[in-house]
Amino acid sequence: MPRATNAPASRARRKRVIKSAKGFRGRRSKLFRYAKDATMKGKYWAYRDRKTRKRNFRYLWIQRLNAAARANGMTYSRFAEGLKAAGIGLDRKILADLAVTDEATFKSIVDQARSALEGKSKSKAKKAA
Amino acid sequence: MSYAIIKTGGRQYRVAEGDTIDVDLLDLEAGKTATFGDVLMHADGDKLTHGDPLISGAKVTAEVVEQRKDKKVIAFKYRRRKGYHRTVGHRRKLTRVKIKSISAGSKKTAAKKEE
Repeated sequence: MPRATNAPASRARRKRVIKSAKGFRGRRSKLFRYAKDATMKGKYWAYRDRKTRKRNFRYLWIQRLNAAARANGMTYSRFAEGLKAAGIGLDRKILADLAVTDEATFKSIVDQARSALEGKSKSKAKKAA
Repeated sequence: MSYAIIKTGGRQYRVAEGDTIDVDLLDLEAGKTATFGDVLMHADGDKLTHGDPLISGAKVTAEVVEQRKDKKVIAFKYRRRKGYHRTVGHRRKLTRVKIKSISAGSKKTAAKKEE
């Protein structure tokens, strides 16, 4: 019986991997053996990093908000507490964007957070007394 | 410059009239009008209105331009030395809308909240 191989399919499979590894460095774009590993890891990390990206952006927004809040004489932590007290439900993405592109509006949000915070501490003091 | 912050599909968007944005799938045909009732903030020049957290009565209307799909993303799961890997393709369904009008709601609320 003649030996049966599946050369066309194997070649097509390898070609597909090499094609998807275009632009990779050195032999990782030229040799199937290394290209396969590189593409698999690339897809694996891309899947994982779509999740970590969401965290990273939140960290970035919070850092920006902290800087912007301090510029208006408030720390981020107090600002967040004040927002909650004032019932402002804007998220970090929007707030950070406002801090960069619309300083006047951000300032008035900070002022509202501050006054809500003062109101909160006052009512607390009343309760204690 | 007047703009509003609306919430849809768990995300918040900053919109002005005439903007075209992609939001999470809305069950509406192209050409229909979409109404966003969840308005968190409205800014008109230096006049700021915010809700608690939503502004009651305020709404943003938009025209549905098309129902479309986002770029394909590949979810590749892989466990080394376990002989396990899965490839799943996914395209998020989006609705492209063009913002028509922004109304800040009743005057009473606006006057109370504005500083």
